[in-house]
Amino acid sequence: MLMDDYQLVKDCLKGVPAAQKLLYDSYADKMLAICYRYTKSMADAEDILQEGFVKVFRHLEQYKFKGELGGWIRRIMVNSAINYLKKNSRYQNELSFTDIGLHPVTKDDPQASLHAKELAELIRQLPPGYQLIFNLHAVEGYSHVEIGKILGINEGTSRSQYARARALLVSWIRKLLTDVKNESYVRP
Amino acid sequence: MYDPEFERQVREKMNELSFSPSESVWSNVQKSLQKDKKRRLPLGWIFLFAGLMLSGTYFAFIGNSGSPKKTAVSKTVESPAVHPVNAVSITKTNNSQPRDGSASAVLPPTQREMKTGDPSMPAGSTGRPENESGSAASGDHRFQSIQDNIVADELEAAHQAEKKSAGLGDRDQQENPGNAAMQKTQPDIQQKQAAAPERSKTAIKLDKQHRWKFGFSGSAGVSDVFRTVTAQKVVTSPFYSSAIYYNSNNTTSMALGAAPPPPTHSPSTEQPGFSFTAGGFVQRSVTRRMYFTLALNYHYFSSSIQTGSKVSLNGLSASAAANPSYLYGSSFTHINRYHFLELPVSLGYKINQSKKHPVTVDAGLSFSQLLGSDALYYNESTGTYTKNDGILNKFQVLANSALMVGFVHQKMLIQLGPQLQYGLGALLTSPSGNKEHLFFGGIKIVLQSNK
Repeated sequence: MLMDDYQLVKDCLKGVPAAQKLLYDSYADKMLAICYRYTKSMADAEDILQEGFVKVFRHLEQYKFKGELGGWIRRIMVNSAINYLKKNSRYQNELSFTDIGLHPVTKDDPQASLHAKELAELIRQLPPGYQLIFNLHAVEGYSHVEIGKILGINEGTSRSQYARARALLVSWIRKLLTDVKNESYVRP
Repeated sequence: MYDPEFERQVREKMNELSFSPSESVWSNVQKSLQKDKKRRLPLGWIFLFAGLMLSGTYFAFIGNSGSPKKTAVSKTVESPAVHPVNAVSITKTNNSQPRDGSASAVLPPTQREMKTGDPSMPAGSTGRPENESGSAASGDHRFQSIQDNIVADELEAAHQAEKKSAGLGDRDQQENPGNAAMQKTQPDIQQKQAAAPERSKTAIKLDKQHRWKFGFSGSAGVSDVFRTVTAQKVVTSPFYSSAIYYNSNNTTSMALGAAPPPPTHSPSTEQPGFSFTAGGFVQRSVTRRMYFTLALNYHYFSSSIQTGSKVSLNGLSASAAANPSYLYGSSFTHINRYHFLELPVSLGYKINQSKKHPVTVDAGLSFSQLLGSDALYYNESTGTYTKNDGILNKFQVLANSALMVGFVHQKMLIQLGPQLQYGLGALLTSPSGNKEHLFFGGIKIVLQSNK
């Protein structure tokens, strides 16, 4: 915990507008990238970012200075994203976490030699259910047990959905890398 | 052997990613924060009001419990024989003389640090991670830490919303052929989706938060009349009867004989009486925690006073006969009854978020119309009590507050707790300017469907 962050949080709790703006500016860019990975459009990502930061300021007193402030804000953003996906009609109809049985995870580990934005674009082209679970497990690091609790699904469902998401993403990356001339990221 | 290098690279690349949000995001965040500040003000007033009502009741009932309530009366209690009824000729005259006794009225998962050292990736053909048990155990621990903060209620909302979405997954097959193809290989998908309606119940719950709910409410307790003193007199009793009142307009000659000497005693003190309400209400959520309630109740107030014997009706007019008078004394107890139709309007706040045992505080106003009363009013000039509810202010506005704890029983939400009401307007005003206000304190019960 940096002393700067400590003072920043204290000032935010006092309602100092300059401190609130500083906290926002410090984390907005990174947090928008997180929100972006969970959505299909930048407008949706900004909606989540806005909702998330409102929660951050409303509940800042619950931050006990244990761990990174950025980590705490990140969790709020991730949960805001999950809530947003489930409330928003554009996503909720496609969030189907059906238990389709265990799927063997591919042993392929292609070099993820794409640029960050290219990779993010591919992740965003996954079906929403796959996209959500892939983000939670592969990027945020949640275990399948945790994902099951967060989403209210079986651990096995999370595991199988992840395996399929990963396989799909790997196949797209391979295709992209082998077809260098064709820079189209159209979903296979 | 499976190597989670892919996941590690993905995490690293995703951590590199950043975008600049548009200006409107911050301005909208600011607006939301400003709205929050405005919302806190009325909520503070609700608690302040409820606190004042509770403390007022404490001082009225408990703080003054040691004061001799009947002292003023007992000093001058006279036997009815002092005023032989048949020989008395009482003339009620216009007299603005203030009463001798006056009341000393009392009002009532960390950011996970990207988990580079804890890949927890599936292994082998089973798809299970190599560190499955460790991951699960630590996962539980981490999950607990997630819930320590605000995330707890978000998870609950997410859980509910997920259940909702689980029943609506058919579009996935249309828009994601790859996904659909994989799902087709699993024969039990349709069966699983057929069970989805159960999950969608939570979605209906969310909608119901904003619907009008109705229910029944009732309360029982004690009522009394408090007197605010603006005059110069001091009386030891904190409870002063609204029914004991000098009637300055009544000039009816009541009986034969010589006029009695002006009475020097104080009227009877008033004792709290039984009171109850019964009615129905409609309720609607305003925010997640606040709700608005509109009710329609019948409210019965009562209090008791001590009187002497009834004045003889010999030679009295019909109107006087219809409103009998009672001499000053303490040989009889008369119950003053007030029947009100009231329209309470209140705002409630859920102190906790428990669905099984919600704790709520309500505060608001009750607009009441007096339907009838048989209360007696004291005429100091004649030393008698008579019925005359025409001098009452029939429209009353009372302040309400209630603190209730709920519990669920057979799909019914039952809430129970103390309720206080205090009349903001005077039930009547004496010539000396003293105002008398209704008070009710009791236990309120609310029944409503918990569906």
